[in-house]
Amino acid sequence: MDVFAIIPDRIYSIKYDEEDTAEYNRLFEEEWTDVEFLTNFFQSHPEYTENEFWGFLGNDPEKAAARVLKDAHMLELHLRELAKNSDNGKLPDLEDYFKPLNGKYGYDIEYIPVKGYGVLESTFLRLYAIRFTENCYLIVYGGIKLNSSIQNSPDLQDNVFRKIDKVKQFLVDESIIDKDDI
Amino acid sequence: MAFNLNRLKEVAKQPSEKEREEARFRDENRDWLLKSALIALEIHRYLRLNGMTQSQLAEKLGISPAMVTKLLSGKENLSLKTICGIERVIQFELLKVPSYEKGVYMRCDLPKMPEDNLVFEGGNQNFCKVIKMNKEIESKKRAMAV
Repeated sequence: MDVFAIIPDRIYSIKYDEEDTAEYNRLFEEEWTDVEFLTNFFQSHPEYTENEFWGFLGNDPEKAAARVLKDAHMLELHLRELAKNSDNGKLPDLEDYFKPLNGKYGYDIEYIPVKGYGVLESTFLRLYAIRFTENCYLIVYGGIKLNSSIQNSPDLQDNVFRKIDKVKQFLVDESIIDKDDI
Repeated sequence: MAFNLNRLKEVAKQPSEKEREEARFRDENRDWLLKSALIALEIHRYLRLNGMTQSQLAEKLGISPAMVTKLLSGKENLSLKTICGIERVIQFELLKVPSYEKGVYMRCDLPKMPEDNLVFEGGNQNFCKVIKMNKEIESKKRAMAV
């Protein structure tokens, strides 16, 4: 596992050994903006584009994919803008974007996993990160959320919490987190 | 302090040249990359709804299967000629020039219609709808004149 500086001092990204690229690049280059990936993804989960959340898309995998594509392009620009604002002391900054990931990690104080959404009002996109300090985050995972909870969304249910815990251990092993502080 | 930021900076690697190049390319070409991907999705939908294979589409378009694969990737900088060829086959308008469309249908001798009626969402099919609507208005006017 490695850490990559995507936007120095602001956004870092984990790279898992089993992946060719850092999570940030995997999401914005290989997943969320890849037509083949998106059409296959939505075609293999038709039950979710018919559910109460995404029913308005009319079980149209290409329409869902188009939504992700537009959202992803806008989100990448948005994150760059927020990082720039963070550098210049302007608002909104990255602190306004990421929200605490409740539930499992609700009682952690120092080690705070967070989540971020796409920019569209109804968005499939989720970024999961760890907050190091003000306006400094490590992207741990991300994906397409098809249901109201992580536990009921394919892909996310198997990966989000597992990866957050894995990264936590990596940060301890690399002395980026002081073990006694957890 | 829980996090050692100096240690983080020591450990953090810089993205590879390939990753930097990909990010730069995305930034510099974002507008047409998005359009190309949206066009690719329309072609995907056409193939799915018509149960057509990529080879059959290649034949209809008169291009190689490899070119169809490129079209479907959504990362190809398509020429207007290619886009018009696709439009002819899938019978769906992919690119619109809004001011041209408005100009064509605002006939001076017809009662002014609400703007909403002049917005086209379904390409050629809606083009026909508007023409039909205009004809109906024209015949009503004639009937009133009599």
